[in-house]
Amino acid sequence: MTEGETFNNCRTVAIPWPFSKRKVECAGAAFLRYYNIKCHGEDTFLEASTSKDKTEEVVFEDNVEYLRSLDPKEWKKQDHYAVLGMKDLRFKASDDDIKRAYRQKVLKHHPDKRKAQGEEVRSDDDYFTCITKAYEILGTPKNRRSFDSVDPTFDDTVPTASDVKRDGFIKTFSMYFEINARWSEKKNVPLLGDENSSREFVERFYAFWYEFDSWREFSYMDEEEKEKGSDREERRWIEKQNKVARAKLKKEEMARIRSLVDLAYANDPRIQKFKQEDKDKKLAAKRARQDAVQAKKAEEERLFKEAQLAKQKAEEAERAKIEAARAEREMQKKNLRKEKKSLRDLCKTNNYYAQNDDETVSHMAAVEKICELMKLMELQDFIKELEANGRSSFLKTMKDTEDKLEAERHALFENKKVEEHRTKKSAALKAPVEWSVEMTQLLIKAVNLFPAGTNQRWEVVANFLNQHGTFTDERRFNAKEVLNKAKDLQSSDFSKSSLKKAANEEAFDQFEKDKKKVTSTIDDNSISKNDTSKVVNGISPKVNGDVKPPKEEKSWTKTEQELLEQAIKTFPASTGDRWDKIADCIPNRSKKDCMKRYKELVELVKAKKQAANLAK
Amino acid sequence: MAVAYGIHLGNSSGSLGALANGTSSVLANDAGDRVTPAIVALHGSEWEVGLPAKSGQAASKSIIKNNKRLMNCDWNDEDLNFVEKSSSCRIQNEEKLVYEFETSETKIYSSPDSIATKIYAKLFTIASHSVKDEGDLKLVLAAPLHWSHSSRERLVKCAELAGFEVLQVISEPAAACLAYNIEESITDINVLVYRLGGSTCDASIIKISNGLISIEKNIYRSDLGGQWLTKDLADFIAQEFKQRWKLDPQESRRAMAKLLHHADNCKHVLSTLNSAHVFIESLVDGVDWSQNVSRARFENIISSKISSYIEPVQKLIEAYGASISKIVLCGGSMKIPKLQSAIANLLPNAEILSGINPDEVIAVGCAKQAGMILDFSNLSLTDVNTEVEFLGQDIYLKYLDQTVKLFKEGTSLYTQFTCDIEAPKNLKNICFSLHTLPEEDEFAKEEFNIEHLNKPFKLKAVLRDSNFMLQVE
Repeated sequence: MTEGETFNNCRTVAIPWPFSKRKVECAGAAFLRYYNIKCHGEDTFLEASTSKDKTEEVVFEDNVEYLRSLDPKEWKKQDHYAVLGMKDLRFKASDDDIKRAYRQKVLKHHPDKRKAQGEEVRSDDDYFTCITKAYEILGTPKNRRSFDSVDPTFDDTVPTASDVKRDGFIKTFSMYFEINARWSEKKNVPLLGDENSSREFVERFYAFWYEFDSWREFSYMDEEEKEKGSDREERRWIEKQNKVARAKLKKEEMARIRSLVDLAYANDPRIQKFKQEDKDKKLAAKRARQDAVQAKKAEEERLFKEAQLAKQKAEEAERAKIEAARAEREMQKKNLRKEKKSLRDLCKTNNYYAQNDDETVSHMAAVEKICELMKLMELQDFIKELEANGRSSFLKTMKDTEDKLEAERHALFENKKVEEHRTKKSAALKAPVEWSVEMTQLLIKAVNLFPAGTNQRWEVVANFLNQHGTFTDERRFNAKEVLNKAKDLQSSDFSKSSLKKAANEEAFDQFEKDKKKVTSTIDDNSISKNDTSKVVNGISPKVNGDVKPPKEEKSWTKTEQELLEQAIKTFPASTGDRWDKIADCIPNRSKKDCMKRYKELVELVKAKKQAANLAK
Repeated sequence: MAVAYGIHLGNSSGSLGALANGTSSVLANDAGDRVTPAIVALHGSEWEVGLPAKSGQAASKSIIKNNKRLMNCDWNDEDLNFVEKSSSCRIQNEEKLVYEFETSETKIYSSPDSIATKIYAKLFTIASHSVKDEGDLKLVLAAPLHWSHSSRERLVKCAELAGFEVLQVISEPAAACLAYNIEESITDINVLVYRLGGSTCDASIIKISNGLISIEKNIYRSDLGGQWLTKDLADFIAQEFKQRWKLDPQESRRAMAKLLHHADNCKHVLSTLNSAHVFIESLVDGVDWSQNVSRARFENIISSKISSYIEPVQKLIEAYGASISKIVLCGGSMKIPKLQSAIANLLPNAEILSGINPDEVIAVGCAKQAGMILDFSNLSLTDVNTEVEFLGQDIYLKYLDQTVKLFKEGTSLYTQFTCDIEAPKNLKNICFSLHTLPEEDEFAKEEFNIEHLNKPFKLKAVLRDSNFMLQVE
């Protein structure tokens, strides 16, 4: 089919309406096919499949000259890949490739075949042995690994600094890392990348290579073969030697890879770039921090100065104010003195507005009083008035002053009275509350209620008393009083206390009462649940375990329970109408209730016993 | 051929499917179970995953269950409470969620991711022990439908940390369909996938056309699951015990944990056998308990819940309308025969698929998907679903006096059509006309020279983006 014909046979027809779209799960063969075509186009898919076919048809070269030159005894030195005709494929060859190559070689170079073709074959050192040996090595994964490890074509060198200078970093190292990647135990070895690789990528790359786990081993280079040893001891010794040699080589190998990675790391422009970036960032951060610190410091200083200035100002203002006030006061005092003097002078000149000597004396005293009482302004007014009205105003003022003084004295007296009253009252309140018998009992109760160790015990006790006692007035107990009383009670002679007496009397009554009770009924307080049930067990064996406990309409109180137990005891199983009688003994309970309760009890006891038995 | 793996990790258990040489299987763990409990426990400084963690529940103090709920990036408070309640360790929720374990000396913190990684690592060891395969273990994971892209990324990261190479993440219902090869059906069908797991439930209706799976409707419920059935059974046994011995196991946390564990086993047995024997040594106060539970009894216990368990399906069917021809059951709780029959009764005309163990269905589907995707080495799929173009109308092809339906409506892109065409030997040119309906006028016409072709010849048609290609050979 030629190109033209293909064209002729193919037509593309446009579809004149739009396609509808729908969401589809990314699963299933049909989807994968669809997606593959969509992503890569049909052609690439076809191409991929054909290229796959091609790889299967690798032609293995056949170099008879080389094969003939081989010495079967020196098999260890031969290149097995070359023997099988896979010189170029080497470690990339799949197991399948090796198998096929070997088959081809066998078909071609088997001694029988060559003999048939008329070639002379020496059976002892024929090169065919080399082919089988090569397959022996390459055909088994373990041996192939050890041969691959010491592949003679592998370049073990590490680039030198001058190489790097000459070819540039990326170019030099990507080659080295690529060829060394084959030793990795892990797959998907990250490769060097390029100048613009992301930081994450580069870091991952170095992390991987610094942790490089190589499968390379050097057992192929063993000096002596283990099997050669004549006895166990010797074999062991050989093994030991080999092991040491291998370990040494392995160490060298690790060191080689390490030095390669080290060299790369040291020369990597990307790492330098990142480092520089880090440094810049750090520096910037540091500078920023320093700036911040400085700014903060400056700000603090400024604030401190301002505060100081403000303080100083405030202090000065205060001082000035005090000074002014003092001056004012002085001034006033001076004025007052002056006014007083002028008043006295005025009075003196007017002969104290007196009409006789007696008056003069009293008026003189009054003037002094006025001087004492009156303030500056009043004094000034008074002087003016005196000048204007003379005696009448003097008298009036004198009288006012007298009244004022009197009122003051009166007020003072009143105050004193009130105070006295109050002190009296408080004294009355302070007097301790009387301890009545009732109160004492309450105290004992409280003390028992709040045992020693209670937080703030005596406050609590006092509160209790205050709350529960009856009081005639507002007096209440406080902690100290209560404590004192309690101590008192403890230490005092108890036999003398009225309480004890009362208790004794009561005890006697109680005793008498009890005695009567005992004689009238056959009461026995010590009946326990167990006792009853034991008796009960004996009489009624028909109760079976899976009766459901009855629904309790009314729960059984303790007294009812006791009554029931007593009744069961009193009326043994042989009594006729037993349950009627039992029910009669217990108020509020019917015959049915009693029977139900009884069954329940039996079941409970039984189950417990059984459980206890099992646990043993 | 390389082995491909599929993992379905749920809230309560995980299973590992493998596909080798075209046959899928489920790998058993070291205890011989095909399902590994997704429970992680910390014992001193040692982590236990799977069965040891599950059986040590009653004794251990730090156990994590239902970790998957917190693997979802958009978890809510309800999920957090649920996990905290079922696990026996504290969960801190500051800037990041962490589990807090108190050991004798220090406190240990662990994130949900690292817990998931531990479970994956456990499955990884199971996988790596099962086959002597030197290459990477290639894997497809299943994620719930409602998970976001970032949650799936987290899942992938965890699986990769555990050692797997994750090829793709697919949705759980899609995986369930793949397990039964439903997508290979020629006609378009609707499938109901009902997954009832330990604590969650998903009901989805899936439409399959041309091998493509699309999810039409979905209901997710986080309040339905097998563990509530287990709880009912445990309560029943506790009641029996209490009646017999007057001792209440519900008072002690340890006794209840023991009881739940045994009830769980009993439930599993009852899925296959008609009766199960429960023997619990020293349940309370050193008293043993031994009892036979029949399947009828168990069904009686759960009968009140059945209706609520099939309610999502009912709703879904009512809302969807169209007929459903197949039902796929997955999730461990769907092993219960009563539930299976309840679902079957809802859709009497549908075929129930339960050939594969319900709790392994999704893992098997994942493994199959992994096997398929291995053939397409250069694909990278990050989404669970994507949009695909479909043909909007039918296309009919007329030639000579024949009519052929070339593509029908809803055909996806890149579909191929081939047919043999009989033509008289001496015909030089053949004319194809294309119609949307057989009786309508043509919308396109193509003429081919077929002089040199052998008769009958082949006609090939490939649907492409906005056009299609006709080819004669």
